[in-house]
Amino acid sequence: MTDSISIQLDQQSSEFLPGSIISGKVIWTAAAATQKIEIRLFWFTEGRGSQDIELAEERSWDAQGLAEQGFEFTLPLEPYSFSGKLISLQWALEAVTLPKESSTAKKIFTLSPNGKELILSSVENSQTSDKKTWGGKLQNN
Amino acid sequence: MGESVQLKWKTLSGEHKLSHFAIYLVGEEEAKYRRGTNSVTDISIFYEQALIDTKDPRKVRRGEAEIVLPSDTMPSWKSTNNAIKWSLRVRGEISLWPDIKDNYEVTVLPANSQH
Repeated sequence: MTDSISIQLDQQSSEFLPGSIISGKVIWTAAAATQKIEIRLFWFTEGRGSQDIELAEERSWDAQGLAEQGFEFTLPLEPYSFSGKLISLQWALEAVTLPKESSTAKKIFTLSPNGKELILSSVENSQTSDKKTWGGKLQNN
Repeated sequence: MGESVQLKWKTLSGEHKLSHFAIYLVGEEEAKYRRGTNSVTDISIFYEQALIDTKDPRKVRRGEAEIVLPSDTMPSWKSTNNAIKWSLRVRGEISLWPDIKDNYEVTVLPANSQH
């Protein structure tokens, strides 16, 4: 038998507020070599900068003898999910079979004051960038 | 975020020599990465608000402005390679002298956070 694993969330929406609860269950079938099931709550960055990943919380259970397990996490207050010109930050739940991580499941969600990803648009014609030549271009007040 | 903050400034001398004077509140993304053996930092400005931007010497000497940040932007945040930084940028022009370009990093807290 091969591993399989999935995550089912109790919440219909993938938009969450800081400090709210995210809950659901992990469902799996475990090969004989699989010892544990682990679920991780974490954020990660993508984009121009080298990737940063930070684990917020995790839970694990014995894989054999069970086929599903409920979980509940209280979400941190920050960082918020955002997408900019250089960087994006995403929150995720990931369930894995251990020790080989031969099967994984992931759920991406957003965390912010209104639940939606914050969009950071680049400012055109910045007045203060280091490339800007100052002088003679300020508006009169 | 979500609250107003009062900013006051005062120039100690030479305000009459400043032909242009401005203070901006700026938010920027900062991304660090490796290129070969070098470490590279890229910057992108996502927020820029003029708090004062004037050629009037009377407004240069002293003044105040209210800062109100929108609630749908990112507070300050920093990880190993990436960051969201906020700063007050003072810019000025003095005839026949180098421009003033001073940056003061400030911390923007999330709404309803404990100060």
